[in-house]
Amino acid sequence: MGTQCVRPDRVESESSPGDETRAAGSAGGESILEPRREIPVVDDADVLVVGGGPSGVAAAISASRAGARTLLVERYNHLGGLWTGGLVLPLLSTHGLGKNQQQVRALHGIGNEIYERLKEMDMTVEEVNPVIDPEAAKYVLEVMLKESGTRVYYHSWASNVILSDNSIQAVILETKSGRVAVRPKVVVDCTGDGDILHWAGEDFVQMNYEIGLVHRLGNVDRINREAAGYREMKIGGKTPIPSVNWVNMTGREYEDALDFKRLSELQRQHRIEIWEDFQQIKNTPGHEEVFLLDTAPQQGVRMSRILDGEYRLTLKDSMTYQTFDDSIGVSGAWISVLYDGTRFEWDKRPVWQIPYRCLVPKKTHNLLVAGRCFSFEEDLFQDARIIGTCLVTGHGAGAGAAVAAASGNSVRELDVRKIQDLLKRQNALLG
Amino acid sequence: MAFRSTHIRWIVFGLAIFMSLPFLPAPFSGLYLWGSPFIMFNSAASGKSLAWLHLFGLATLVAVIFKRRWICRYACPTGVICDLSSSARGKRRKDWKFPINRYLAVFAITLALFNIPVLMVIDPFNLFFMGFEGFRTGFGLHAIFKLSGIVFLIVFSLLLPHAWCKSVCPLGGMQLLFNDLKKRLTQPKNPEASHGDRRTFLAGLAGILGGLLIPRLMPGRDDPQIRPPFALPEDELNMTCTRCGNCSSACPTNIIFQSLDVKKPERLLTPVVSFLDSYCLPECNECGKACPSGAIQQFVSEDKKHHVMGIARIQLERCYHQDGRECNQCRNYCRYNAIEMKKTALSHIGLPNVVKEKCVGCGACQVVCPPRVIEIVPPS
Repeated sequence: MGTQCVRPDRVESESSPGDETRAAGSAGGESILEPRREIPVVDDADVLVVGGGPSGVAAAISASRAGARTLLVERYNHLGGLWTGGLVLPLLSTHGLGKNQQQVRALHGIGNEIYERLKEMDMTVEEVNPVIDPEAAKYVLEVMLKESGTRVYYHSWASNVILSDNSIQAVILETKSGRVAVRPKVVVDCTGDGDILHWAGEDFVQMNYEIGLVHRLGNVDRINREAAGYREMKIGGKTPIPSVNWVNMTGREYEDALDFKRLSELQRQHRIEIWEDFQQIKNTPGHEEVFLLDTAPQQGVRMSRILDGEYRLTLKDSMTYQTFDDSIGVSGAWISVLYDGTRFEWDKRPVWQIPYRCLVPKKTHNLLVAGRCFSFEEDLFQDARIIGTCLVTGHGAGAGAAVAAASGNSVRELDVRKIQDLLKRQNALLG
Repeated sequence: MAFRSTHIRWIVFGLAIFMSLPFLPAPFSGLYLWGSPFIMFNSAASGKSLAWLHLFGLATLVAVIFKRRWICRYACPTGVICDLSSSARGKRRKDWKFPINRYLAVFAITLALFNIPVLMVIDPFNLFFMGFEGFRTGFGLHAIFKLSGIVFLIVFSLLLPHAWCKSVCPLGGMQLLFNDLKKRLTQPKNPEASHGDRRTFLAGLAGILGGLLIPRLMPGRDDPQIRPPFALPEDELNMTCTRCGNCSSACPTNIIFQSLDVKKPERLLTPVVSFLDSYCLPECNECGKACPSGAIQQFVSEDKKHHVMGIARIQLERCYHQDGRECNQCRNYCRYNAIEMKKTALSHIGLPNVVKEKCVGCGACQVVCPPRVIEIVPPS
């Protein structure tokens, strides 16, 4: 069966349930014991969203609007995660093939609101899979989060959880004020790397994939194609600002995104390579005025942990209009093709439903997972890891967290219809 | 009505038709072919794969020793068709004067010993099966081609009633040879034998002559094709393949087609591979299992790692990575780790590079490539 044929490296997790902390592995075998200490509880919340990327913002807005007291923590200084800070500007998978074989819009709900606002500001290019402006998106996300009443802690890195009876009692944050704790009723893991689910002792699959660093070039409208010795150079793709292009980095090796030492090496390597690439372009006749506008503040990690949750969505599910009673949204197509086991078809990728169970871990009672680390089989990663899908899973997880916080029940014992009603009121498309 | 031995023939005929019906799973449909000792002998003599299913053919042959020409009597569905069309001519009977069946069989097997089992095609089981099998994959030109064998036999029987079965069919000839052998062993002195012996010897000589001449007349390997995995080299394949189409039906991803290239008549209806809709699954060995002639050798899927069907060629100018677009599909889907991303002059752009030592030409990259810039070309 062809749906099993994606082959990126994968490492099975060895995590086991329990309350103890699970810090990153020590390299040389030497370790040091941290003394016990008291950590001040600085805040509490109905819903705590960890990570302010597309999924985190959608989750926080949804939960806040549903009446939950919501707090979002973000390790950088902006919202939008890799979409803005990673300069991965295309909002992919906005559309897909409907059952009537017509192209239909998959992006609805909060994700679509974000898109509509950007479009109104003239900060999008193209209707299908639009490219957006990162600063405009940071602004829109900030405003929408503010309007919803969500509080945000920036420069705060969630570094651990305190568990008791398979419930997260507190989330530990590393901040400029030192180590602090927040008491949540429900946590939504939108870290992308699945940090929270890892510390909560949930099972996951680690998938190694390429890591890149995106950059932008300015003055691309001033390239003189008539110049003597002019030669066409690869200068990336259009953005809403006519003089600016964004330039992706296609990685070359499968990298372990959870190895901080390797991440540091890559960061250095990529920064040097980008400058040298840019010099080549600048030194090519006709390109004298092009300048390196910026490199992304966030490293472009494509895959890391994937939750092994209540249900793992498969590529086959996504290609066969598989319907789920507990659908929380649909996402669209991007690059993969329709494959029925014997025959490939191009440009025929249907919209696909995402069930609530894919956001639910197997053990912890008050944790939901959204973004690129939600529960799916590795074959689906090309469509599961992208911005459009993150907005959908985030929206669903936010609504689920709000319902869980209001009812006080475990996330596995919720009335899914309540979540679906809430999502429908928030204009989500469930099927 | 009492059961009579002639009923067996109709039951078997019905069974043969049933096994050739389009809706049956692939391994079923071809089973009948394995019952022919003529195919078995050709395959064995030409040193092609002998599968355990060939025991089936051996069993039918052994049975011939006990009952003269029992295959013709009971097991041959083509015989039923020939007899029906022969009797359509009424009672007028005109015998073919000179039976060639024995000599055809000897000639065929001798040729097979020279690696040229071309006459396997006219095995009656094969002609019958081909006629029906063609429609498994739709009503195309190939189906008409394949039906022509049985149509020819019907016309032949109308013109010369019963001549095919009695005097021409090499499967019949083979059975007679076996009976001759039995006779010789049981009744050592037979005055008529020497007459037949000389002709048999001449047929063998003709086979040797053909075996020496035919390879010289065959066109060279100027235009290699992508063939199913473990297919014989080009000219051997053209001569060995019975054109039954069993491999094509057995292929789970439907990538094996029967050649309709009339400019290359020597390869007409032989299996060729197209990766337009799917690719050759690494874990599959169905075509090898289905081939009764050994034109596609039996293989275990593990050996596919080392068997080259073709090689991927990428038109890098139109690769998505040139524009920095996310893709990587070719590398992700390659099960043989044969595609690596190579640094270009601008180091943020990695372009796919085919590792020649690892690529086997399975076609996965060709089908998943979104800009469709990958093509599998035959091995040079």
